Amino acid sequence: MPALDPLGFLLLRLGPGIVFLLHGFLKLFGGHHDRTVALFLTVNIPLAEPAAWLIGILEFVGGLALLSGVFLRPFAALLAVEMAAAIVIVRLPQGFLGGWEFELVLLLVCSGLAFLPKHR
Amino acid sequence: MRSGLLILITIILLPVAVRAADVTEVPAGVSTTAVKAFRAGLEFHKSKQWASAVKEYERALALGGRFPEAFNNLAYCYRKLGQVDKAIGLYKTAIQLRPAFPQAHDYLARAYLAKGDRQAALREYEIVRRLDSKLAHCLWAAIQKNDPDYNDMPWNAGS
Repeated sequence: MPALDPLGFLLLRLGPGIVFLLHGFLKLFGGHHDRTVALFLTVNIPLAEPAAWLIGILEFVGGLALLSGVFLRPFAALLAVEMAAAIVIVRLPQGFLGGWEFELVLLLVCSGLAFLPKHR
Repeated sequence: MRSGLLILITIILLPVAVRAADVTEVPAGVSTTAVKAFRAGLEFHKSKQWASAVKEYERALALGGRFPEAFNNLAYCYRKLGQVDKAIGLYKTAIQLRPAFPQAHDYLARAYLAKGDRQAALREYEIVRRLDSKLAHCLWAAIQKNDPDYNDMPWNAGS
């Protein structure tokens, strides 16, 4: 398999990296924590309060991992699982367009990054 | 003096305007015919003609206007007509479409209250509290009074 171009590899990580970093930041420090807890309570996720902190940390640290490339594959895998859960638990009833399309893109990109060979 | 009075009136009316806007907005992409039916429903809704409002909201939904406000407002009218179970189902649909929809959670809590299910109402209150503290304050008063209709009209908020 041909090696990935470093610039292409960076661009691939940049999109989801920025999205997760910002969303994680908002959940942890930007006043979106209560909104996340409300969402979790709505869809009956147990321990909504700690779960919301955990997801905030995952997205913030995961975003940094995607951007920096450090611990890239495990965090990309975790973020892919989060997106799969978001689609199944929250987004499916909202339909594809304007519903779960964005989460699907993040799920696929993160899955792709998680499956990259260890030594590029 | 005059501008001071205007500012004072604006400050007093602002919470009413903010709450009203949340259930009257139509998201982008909804067909003009559905929007027209929804707006007609709103007019009946404002004048408390629940059966006529139901007809228009249902027409909006049939025309493809399946947006959370339409389900929420239709549910509200059904609750006012005494069809609480139907209202609960419609509120749940509105919430599925937009989980962080404070008004739908507020009204769902009131519907549970109307059914005598205080525990379920309190669960919804917990969600409203996280989304909109002003709305939660009104809802808490309704729960305390055990009166689902207490301060529940978006166009009369604060009265």
